[in-house]
Amino acid sequence: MGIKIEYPTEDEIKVQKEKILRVALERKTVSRPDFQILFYNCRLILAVGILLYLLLLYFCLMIRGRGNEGYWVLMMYPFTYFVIYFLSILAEEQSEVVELKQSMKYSFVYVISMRMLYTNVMAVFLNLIMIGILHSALAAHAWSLAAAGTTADIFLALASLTIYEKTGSAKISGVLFLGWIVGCIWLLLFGQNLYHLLIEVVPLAVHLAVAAFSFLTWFEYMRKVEHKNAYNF
Amino acid sequence: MLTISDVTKCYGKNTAVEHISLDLDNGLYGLLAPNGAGKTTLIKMITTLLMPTSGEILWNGVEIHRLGAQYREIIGYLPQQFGYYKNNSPRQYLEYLAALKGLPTEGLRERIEEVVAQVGLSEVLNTKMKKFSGGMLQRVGIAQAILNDPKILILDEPTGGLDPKERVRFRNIISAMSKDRIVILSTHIVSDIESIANQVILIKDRQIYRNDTVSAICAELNGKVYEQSMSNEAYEAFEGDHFILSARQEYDGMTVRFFSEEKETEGRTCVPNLEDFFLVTFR
Repeated sequence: MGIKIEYPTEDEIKVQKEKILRVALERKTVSRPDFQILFYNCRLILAVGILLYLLLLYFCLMIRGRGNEGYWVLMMYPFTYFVIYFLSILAEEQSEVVELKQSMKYSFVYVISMRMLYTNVMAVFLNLIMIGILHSALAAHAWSLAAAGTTADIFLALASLTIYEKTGSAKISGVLFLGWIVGCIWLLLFGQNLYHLLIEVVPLAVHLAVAAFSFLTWFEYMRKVEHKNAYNF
Repeated sequence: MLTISDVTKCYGKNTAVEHISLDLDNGLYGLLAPNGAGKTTLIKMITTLLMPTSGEILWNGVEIHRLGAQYREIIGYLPQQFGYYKNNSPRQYLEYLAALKGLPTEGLRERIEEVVAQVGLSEVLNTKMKKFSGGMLQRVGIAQAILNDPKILILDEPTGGLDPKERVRFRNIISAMSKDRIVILSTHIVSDIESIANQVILIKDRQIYRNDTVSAICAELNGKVYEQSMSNEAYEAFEGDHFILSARQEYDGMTVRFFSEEKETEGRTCVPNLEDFFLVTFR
């Protein structure tokens, strides 16, 4: 004799469906940490960053008309990023919160990466003011310089964050930053041809495309960091 | 279930832990070993802070680094060095950590008040933590670890700085919590886990030395732990050729608890405890 199975009624199916959907959608409504959380306890660091930026602006006024403004601008582009990056990590390490935060759903590496993404977006606009001050001296290549500086800034940032994620140390990024400064000084002293090729010959459209690509690379990096990360040392 | 499968961690040429395999289901696991034995390294691998050099750690069959944020969402962790922002009150700090844990804001206020009451800090909920004692800070650390009602609660040396009353309170909280979750309590203080651990995991020479219940571990020393009273003068000689577990000064001499593989005719045999086993193992 066969077993008689009672099928659920349409109403029962509807109730069950709503229940499943409610549970499934509930998880997706949990929001990511907002700006306030990402920059928690960072007021002093941001103040130092802005102060440094004002000094850079003053420096721009000082070098106006010397003929080598482009090299200096390129060198100064990642300054704001690196100052906020180093101070952020230093402050968190001194408070001994890195380990605890790294174990959270939104880990320390995620928070630092997001913080630096916002900082770099802000730096793009702040650096444009720097370009604006020197616009007459930089002539037709101002926008190329802005795009190239932004690209360099973003790739340096990505390199520093990746190094931090892999090693748990910001010191190697310091070497990277110093390397950038030395590279720019070398460009100023011996690499005029390379500078000419990169900034003055390569069309603006290429610079803009590369800058856009660098931002896309960052977003892809963030997507990966958001899901998974662990120190690998 | 949390599965640790043949995990080894090396720092360059130094091996911190090797070939660790464990299956952890709901209950309280006491991770017991002397300082520097590799407890913290193991804990850091379980919390995804470190990658194993070889082997893997699985949560319900999936490797924890593959789960990433999904895994970190279900853990509560109190590191050995609990860091905090001095100018924050427990409420501010817990609200901040709740955001990093991805907790919804609805009901958060009540949840914070609940966990703070559990650790006995309700009266200082809005006081800046720079005024707190070590024990109070440790209790904030415990509060943050249980804030998200974790499925895996990992506590690395959690009782440091707690006074005896706070230790009892802590043990009661943790014991109650272990009914429906995995609690891993790493310590070198035997009394932290002796009365509450379902299972004790002893690490020796970078490997798991014992993984059993307290009673089963202690039973290994049955008939080998003795107690004997003697004069202070006799104790000096006795100490030289016996393995002393503890010595208590009395009015008229010493009462000595000691370990011996040989049958001792003068001493009274007594029920071995976990501290005896720990001392004998790591002598």
